[in-house]
Amino acid sequence: MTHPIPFHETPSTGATADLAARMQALIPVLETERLILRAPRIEDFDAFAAMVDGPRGTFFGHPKTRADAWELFMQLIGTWSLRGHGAWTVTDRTTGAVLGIVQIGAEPGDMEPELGWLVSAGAERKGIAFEAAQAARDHAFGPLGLDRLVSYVDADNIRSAALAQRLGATRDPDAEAAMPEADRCVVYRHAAPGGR
Amino acid sequence: MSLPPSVPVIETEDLILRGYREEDFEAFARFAASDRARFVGGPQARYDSWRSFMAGIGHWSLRGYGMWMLEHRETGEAAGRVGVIYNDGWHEPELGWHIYDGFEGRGYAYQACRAARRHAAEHLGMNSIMSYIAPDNTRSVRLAQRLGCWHERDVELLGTPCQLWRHPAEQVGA
Repeated sequence: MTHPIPFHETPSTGATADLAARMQALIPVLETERLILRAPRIEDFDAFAAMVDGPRGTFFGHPKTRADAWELFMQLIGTWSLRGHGAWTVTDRTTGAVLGIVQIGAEPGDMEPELGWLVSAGAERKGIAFEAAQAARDHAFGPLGLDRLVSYVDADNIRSAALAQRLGATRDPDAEAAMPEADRCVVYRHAAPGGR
Repeated sequence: MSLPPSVPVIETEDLILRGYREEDFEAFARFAASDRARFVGGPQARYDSWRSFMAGIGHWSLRGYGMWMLEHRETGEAAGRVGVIYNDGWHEPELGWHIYDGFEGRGYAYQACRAARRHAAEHLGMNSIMSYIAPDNTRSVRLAQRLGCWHERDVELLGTPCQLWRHPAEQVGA
């Protein structure tokens, strides 16, 4: 970032920092070969806002303004408390740089737990989204014990469709037909390990 | 269990300030869809309210503080929300209040704000906190006056003209 970090994006201090840390500590940390997936923190927001601002963000909650992005960011985190799953910030395990966000979500319009991903412009084409999504999926079917997981992909989001396929997910026409008209999109169903 | 975990619980004469429960969503969405939500970013469809509801929980995890759900002691119903909000682009943390239909006019907002303001001063290091008020929100102006606040200055909140009211400092420690 070239501009100074504004105060509202700096972490809390004192008792509030302790409480935030205790809540964030409940979110599992996932490690992969190149990545660490951890609880989202306030200082990730600027990178998140940059990720969703632009054409790629239209596939991720469709935030139109920075205020919308802020609400989406908080919602992705709040999901952990309500559902026991939610979003991770995807970071470079060597540098700690924020590379993206991956989530097991329960967003408005979702019919089932959703695996979603978004990486920053600089992290594209390196298999980062694949590596992060794979870790989140395995965590969903493993420790979280979910019995189903889908990805909702906009019809014109070719790259996400390709990633879903690379993850071994297959299109589910029945699930697509069951979506409300306004939310209609392509539904990829992920296979639980062991193949059910 | 109320969410997120570790949200401090504060009891007042008529209310329990606590974290969120899934069953609070009905009352939350009803308020958000009502005309009375026009001062707090609404009215909002139930569909979109889900995002806001979870965002209210997420705020706690990010900041370590947030809005409490107000549980009406006598009936157990969700009576509104009061607490400290600090959204992106805001001037500083704000003490905000939303009272749901049927619980207005009973002094609950006053009661909850006093408790939240004291908690913020004692535990969050936020004394003499502020509240944003839309200029035409006469009910909130009256409550702010009753809480001893003064109209400190006019500001723009994300492009919208708004008044910034300052709360008196609480006596802390002693």
